[in-house]
Amino acid sequence: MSHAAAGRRPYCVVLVVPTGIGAAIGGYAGDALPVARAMASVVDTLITHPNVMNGAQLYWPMANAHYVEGYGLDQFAAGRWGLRPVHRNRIGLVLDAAIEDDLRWRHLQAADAARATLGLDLTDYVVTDAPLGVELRSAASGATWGTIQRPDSLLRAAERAIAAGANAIAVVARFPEDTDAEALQVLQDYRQGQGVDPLAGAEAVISHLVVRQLRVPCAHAPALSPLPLDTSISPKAAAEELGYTFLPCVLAGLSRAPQFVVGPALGLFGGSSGGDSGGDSGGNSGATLWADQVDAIVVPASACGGSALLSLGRRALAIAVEANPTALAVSPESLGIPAVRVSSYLEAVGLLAAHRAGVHPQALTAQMPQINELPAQGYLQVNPLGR
Amino acid sequence: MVLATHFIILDIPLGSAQGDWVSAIESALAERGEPLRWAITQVNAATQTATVEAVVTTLSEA
Repeated sequence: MSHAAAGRRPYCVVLVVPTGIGAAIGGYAGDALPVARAMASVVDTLITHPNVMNGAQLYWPMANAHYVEGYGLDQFAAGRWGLRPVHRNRIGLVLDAAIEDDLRWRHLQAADAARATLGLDLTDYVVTDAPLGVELRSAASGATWGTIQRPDSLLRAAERAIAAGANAIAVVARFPEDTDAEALQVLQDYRQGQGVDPLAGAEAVISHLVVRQLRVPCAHAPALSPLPLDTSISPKAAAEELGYTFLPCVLAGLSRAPQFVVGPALGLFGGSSGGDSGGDSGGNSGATLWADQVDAIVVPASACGGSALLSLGRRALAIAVEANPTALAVSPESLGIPAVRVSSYLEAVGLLAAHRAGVHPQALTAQMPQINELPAQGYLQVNPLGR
Repeated sequence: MVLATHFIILDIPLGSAQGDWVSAIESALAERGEPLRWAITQVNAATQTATVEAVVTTLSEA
């Protein structure tokens, strides 16, 4: 029975697996996508981000899953932006001027394939007026970050695509391919399904910049030279070994990514939905999602310092998954977030199903202590699940 | 005007957020530029600080 037929509002979950922190599940080539698929089957609406959904040549469209770039997801979680579902977007493809001719043709053919084989709508492409100058960085924490030397050129190209009719932007930037021993070892580790993706932090910076400045859906695919065959590639990284580009998943995701609605900020601690009165220029916006409609957020238990969880962790059910270790050690407890720890994503999916059904998870176990009287005085600790 | 991206690291006292980490971090980052991407990447119980790694943007004269 649908939620509408049952007279309930949709049960909405945010799934976050931060990029560039070596998440054992989701730190490689779209390898958290099975988690998203399973989760989407027990919730009404799933909101997640490109790092979860992008498997280079592989992707899996889901009617109830929203593909939201990280900056936009953080703004949504903070109650500043709404998400307005769409039937389709027209995608503008922005190519870094630093991409060599052969590699550029590979990406143009991927774009044409998405038009001809998937029926996606793209404007003509734009080449940046200067090489973007992507620079990679690894921090002491183990996370990867990055900067670009010519953010102005990126934004000019994206603005040209929007002027040509695009309302979503796919960026392909040429990423450096260092050949020193340390860089080669990092790459080898990544292909073996270990360590931290050296490109991820810079990729996020590129898409964040476009979303922050232009407020349209955006995602990024790196342009890299094909790697020699390696028969020991990890299944978790194998999706990136299948072709010449990582662009198909980006185009598929952006084709139905929700548009951002910039409305009055929500009062997240007691305010009501920003609703559909503010700033939505897209016509009928009855389905626009706001942060106060989120029922739960799921994150790795060691990566609880991201903006989305810090915004939502006190007002939605926060679920911290222990069996997805990362390079970080930022627990929910260390930041005062009242999260429920679960051992695995299997358990998280079960907890979400129970939460959606209104069943207390303790009732699914053999332990059911008698109800007690609240103490007359003193500090009352509120459990996120009610007991 | 020239737009530039910068990677920065900040330490924020755990007590300064008073439950609103996003506002506390964004305010601290705003002193260095416009926040683009950030996360708390370490919590040090001994010093009672949270380490924030971030990329911010700045606008400067060409």
